[in-house]
Amino acid sequence: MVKVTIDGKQVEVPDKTTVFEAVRGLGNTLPHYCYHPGIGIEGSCRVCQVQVEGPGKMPKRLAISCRTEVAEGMTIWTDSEPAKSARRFVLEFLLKNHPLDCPICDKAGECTLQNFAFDSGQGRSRSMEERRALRKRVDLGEVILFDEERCILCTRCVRFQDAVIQDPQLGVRNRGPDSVVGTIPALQGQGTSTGDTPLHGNYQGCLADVCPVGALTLKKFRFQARAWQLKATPSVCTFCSRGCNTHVETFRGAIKRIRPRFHEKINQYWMCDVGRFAYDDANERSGRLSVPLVRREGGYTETSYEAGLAEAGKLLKSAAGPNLLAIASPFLTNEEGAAFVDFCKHLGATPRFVAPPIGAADEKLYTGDPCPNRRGLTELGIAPATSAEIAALAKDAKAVFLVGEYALDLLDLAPAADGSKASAFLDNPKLPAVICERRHVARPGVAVGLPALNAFEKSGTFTQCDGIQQKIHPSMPVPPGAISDRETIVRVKEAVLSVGHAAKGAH
Amino acid sequence: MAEKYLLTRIETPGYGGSLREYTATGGYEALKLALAKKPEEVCGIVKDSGLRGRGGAGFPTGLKWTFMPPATDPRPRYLAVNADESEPGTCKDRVLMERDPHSVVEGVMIAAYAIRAKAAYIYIRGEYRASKAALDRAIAEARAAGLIGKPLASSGLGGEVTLQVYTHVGAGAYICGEETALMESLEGKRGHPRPKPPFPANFGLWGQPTTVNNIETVTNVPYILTRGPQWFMTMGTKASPGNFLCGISGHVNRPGVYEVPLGIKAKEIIDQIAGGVWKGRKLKALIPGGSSSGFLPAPIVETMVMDHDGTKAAGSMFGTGAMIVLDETTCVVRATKVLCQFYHHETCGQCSQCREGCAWLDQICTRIENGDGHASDVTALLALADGMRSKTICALSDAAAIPVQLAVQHFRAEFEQHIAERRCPFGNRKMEIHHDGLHDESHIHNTQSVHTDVLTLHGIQHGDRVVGAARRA
Ligand SMILES: Cc1cc2nc3c(=O)[nH]c(=O)nc-3n(C[C@H](O)[C@H](O)[C@H](O)COP(=O)(O)O)c2cc1C
Ligand code: SF4
Ligand code: SF4
Repeated sequence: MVKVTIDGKQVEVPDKTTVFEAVRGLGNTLPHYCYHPGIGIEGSCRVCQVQVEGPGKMPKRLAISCRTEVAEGMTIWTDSEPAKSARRFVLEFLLKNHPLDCPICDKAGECTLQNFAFDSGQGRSRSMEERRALRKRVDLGEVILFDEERCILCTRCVRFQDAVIQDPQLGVRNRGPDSVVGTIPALQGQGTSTGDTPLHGNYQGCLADVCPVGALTLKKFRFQARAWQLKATPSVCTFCSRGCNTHVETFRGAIKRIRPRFHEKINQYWMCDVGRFAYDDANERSGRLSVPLVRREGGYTETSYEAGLAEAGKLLKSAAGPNLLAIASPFLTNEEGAAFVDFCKHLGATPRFVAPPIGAADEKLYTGDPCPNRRGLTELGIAPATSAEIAALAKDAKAVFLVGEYALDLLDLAPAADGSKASAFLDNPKLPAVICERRHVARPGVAVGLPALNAFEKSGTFTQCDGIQQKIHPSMPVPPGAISDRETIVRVKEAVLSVGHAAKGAH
Repeated sequence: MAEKYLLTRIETPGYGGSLREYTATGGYEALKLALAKKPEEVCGIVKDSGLRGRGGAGFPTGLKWTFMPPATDPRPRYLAVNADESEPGTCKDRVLMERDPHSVVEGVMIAAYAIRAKAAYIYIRGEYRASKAALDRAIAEARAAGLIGKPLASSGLGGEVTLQVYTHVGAGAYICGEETALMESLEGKRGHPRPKPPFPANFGLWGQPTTVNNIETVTNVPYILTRGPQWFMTMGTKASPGNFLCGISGHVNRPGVYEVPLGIKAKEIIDQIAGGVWKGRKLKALIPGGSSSGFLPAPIVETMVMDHDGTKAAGSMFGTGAMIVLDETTCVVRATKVLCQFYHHETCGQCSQCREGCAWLDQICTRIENGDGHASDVTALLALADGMRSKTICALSDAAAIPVQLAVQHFRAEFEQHIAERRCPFGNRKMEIHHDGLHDESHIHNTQSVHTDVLTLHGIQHGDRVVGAARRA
């Protein structure tokens, strides 16, 4: 530990701490562009300047706080006139060519050029020069649109690719004020709509996160909402077993964007594009079940929960025992999983969950395992079962209980060798099935359809691949009338157990 | 006339710079002397001589060498010799390299030995083809004669040291003369200066301990070894001993590269050595030490002494000792604009202040010169130049700001006259304004073309005439 004085306050900070982080520790974040704690220290934007004196006889001087380490007896001024003036100047220089198209910029409201100019900049621009005219809509592939004019050349994006992903794809062309960030020029006719080499990889979305301004923006978020209109819910990604921490951002009841939330051990500052962009399905509200459906002559009819559950109870009761095929989705939370285990115990069924083989992992976070709670459910005693195993078990089954979103999709993820679908047993009218899914499944075997919730609508815990239990929080409203999966499982169990009693009481 | 040593051979009629001619005039004697001593002793002699770097910063050379880690440090170490010579007005190193390359090679070898480097890289400005050819020839000759690449038998290190000397050409970027950019460039990367610390003596070329020295600096070393530090201190001043090569250009009758003692009066160089301001005109301003040292008005030049302290006292700096003379018909606004344009083109663009500021200063000066200035422009120039002088990675940002600061400080009325009259009072044609980001290929010129602009503005051509002048001197 070393003792330093920051703006007149004596503090003790660990050795090797940078002045920037020491100041941040006191709750004051200095302006910074090139520095990003996840990417590293560069020291080129020069906007985090402070005045320091010492150690020893070192005179009072301006220094960039991101690259200056604290030393015993150092005195630091963040608010002296020379320090403030240096930062004000850097902001003035950065704004000289900035297009100031904030009203139509997706970054507005969360742009650190705006925020630090507000904190440390000056109110008036001295520039009378023509602003830089560059390409405004550079197509960098499926994920990113790049506005050359907005770029402040912090090179975070370049260094993110180099240092974090270790797949250099971006660079700075030209020199000095002519510098422009971009991908390597594409060979004739091989580029994107603007002739540029497209970015590749599973972490392109992170580029929009690290860009401090609206230069690198997500095509998918383009003109979707103003940043300040978004409601951010802290949650956890459920699209692989890594469990990256996220903020799910919604506007008018729809998810507009998902961004990584720092978790030191799991995902640091990052998340992959698979999880980042997997929200369209959650936003799709049409066709959602909010009340139970039961099969009647000529089709399905909506019923009350009581009636639907009673029917499900009757049906499952008759099949209770080892031949009741009970299958959970790997998207069930630990709490839902516990209810499912309890259900199976009471009905004499073996608890299983759909567990397709683990696919290819990517270079960083994505595990390739589509089962977000494989570890949690397994630890609860629910056996992972492949599609083939489930299809084989269905041959001797008397009834089926299938619960949780994506269970069917995962069951049919990879078709069997003969091309048949693993879920073909649902087409057998002699094998009645109770299915708890988000959308109605109208297949000959399905006798009762119960509403299920989406991971964005649930609360509960998941256990990610390394065994860390994490809470998810609902960011989307539950379809009106629908109940949680856990409650559905419990109530189906109760309905089964009360079949005989209800009959007695009725007459 | 004061004693000379750097140009003595060059100014001898018929001297061709070959190994035979060089050794016949005492060449490579200093190397023998050096190898008979311990590297630390060689360091000590150079330290005692008070030699200061001739690359721009004037840092004491012997002291710089002692920053290298002790002999017990097992890491490889390097000497990088700076022959990038791109500072407008500066054309002295090429004289040494082209006309007496063996004196350079000998200096390089002794310097390398003093810091225990087994390899020295001479980084040559891209356009200096003749310098590169002359050095390569000299290195080949020295190699054939067993001076380079063989164990240094008589060395104080017990005959096990083999020294290699390589040349490397840059691609014509001024910034590659900055010592850390030079190392990046040598490593095959873009010439971007590195933030310091770490300093080169600890983390230099390929991350190993490295010393960077200018060509003229190392060429002084053999003479110091053969004649001794006491002799060296008889020339120049106490704080800045020795002679320096003064490249004088601009509006003088005899531009050229002259060897003069530090501490000489600037006026003496202009009036006597360079034959006075041309066309019988009066001196208006002087750039004393390369473009970065800015403009000084005639009254200050009148008494100024050409050494590190003297130029500093005049509010400027010694820099590369390259004087550019401006006569009374010169428009200072235009001259400032030309320098700004140079820095605008040469800033590497890492630091926000420098990247945007260099362009901004250029644009404002161009507008003023073209008669499109605003009343607020002069204060804006001063403020922006001030802002560019907060912390940046290298000194280019300061180098770009200083000429503007000095021009406005000493010639403010001229700027204001341009603005008030909405034209250049010297009747100059309008200049092209370089907006950011609108550059097409035709705007992209190399250092050479801008460099030449600067010199032609002052009536000087680059090339043989300069070297020729050295011959005549
Ligand atoms: C922008 C910039 C350009 C420079 N260009 C040169 C150059 O062309 N030649 C040179 O010797 N030094 C140049 N220098 C100075 C070098 O960084 C370094 O100080 C010098 O080579 C050290 O040598 P010395 O100690 O022998 O003077 C430049 C510095 C800056 C900031
Ligand atoms: S695109 Fe964004 S992240 Fe990349 S250099 Fe420009 S401002 Fe920085
Ligand atoms: S001061 Fe200018 S030239 Fe030097 S590193 Fe910064 S931007 Fe590049």
